[in-house]
Amino acid sequence: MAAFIRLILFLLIAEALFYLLLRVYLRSLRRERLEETWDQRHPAMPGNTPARREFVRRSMIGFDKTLKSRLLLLVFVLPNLAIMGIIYWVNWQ
Amino acid sequence: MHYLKVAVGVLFGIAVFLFLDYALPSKNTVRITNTYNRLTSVTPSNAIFYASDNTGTVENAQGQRDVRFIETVRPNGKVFVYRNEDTGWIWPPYFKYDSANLQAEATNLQSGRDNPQWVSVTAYGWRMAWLSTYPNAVSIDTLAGPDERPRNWAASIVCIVLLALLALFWRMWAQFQERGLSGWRRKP
Repeated sequence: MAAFIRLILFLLIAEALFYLLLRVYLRSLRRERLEETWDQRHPAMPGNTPARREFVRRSMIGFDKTLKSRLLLLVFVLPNLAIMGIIYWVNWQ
Repeated sequence: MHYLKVAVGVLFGIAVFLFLDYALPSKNTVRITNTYNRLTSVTPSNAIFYASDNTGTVENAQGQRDVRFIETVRPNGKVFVYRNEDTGWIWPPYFKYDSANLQAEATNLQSGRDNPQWVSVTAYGWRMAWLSTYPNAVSIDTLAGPDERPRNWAASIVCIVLLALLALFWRMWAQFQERGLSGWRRKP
């Protein structure tokens, strides 16, 4: 039983770490795309201006509610499903 | 310096290959000839090639375990011995705790040379005679004949997933190098 609890604990830690890394990565991609959008719309204001920063900040507000951001929670589901699958195939087949 | 880097890279590649070769399941077409359990001494030198202790096999004061074994013969006539141990909830992640059932299945599938019943044994690990290590059998499937070689889907899928993860981490690292964590500590 102790081993089982330890497994759950380590799995949760690994999943949380992976979730954070993926979240940072996805947000970084989104910001980059927003900056490019701004640069295309305002060719007269090149570079990292306060206006662009404000645009990116406001565009990022709803990011946690997007489908992509919610699908990220699968990080906490898929490995557990895989483990259950392994348990089934190893012990009940 | 350049040669040192190359050498370290090659050694790392070999280590990764050996690790995957040890931990991933492999399938062998064999005929089961005998099943038994025997007191086996698990010494510090070969302990990592056995299941972690306290997972199902009891270890006595002399460091011996009553390990189940499955003796088999390959189609080419060479013999191969598997052990059959629970892995429990610990490494390697097979979560196997049905070794008693597997042993019963193996005993049931025993066959002689005259009327052979070929089976495919899925196992992980290495047989190293000088260290007394045996691959751990995970599952047994019956086959029609000695020439049948079922595809090893499990290992293929794990390899594909690992490659995809490697590609993902490579992309993440590239993005980090390009932009850092600037999105976090931005102050106007």
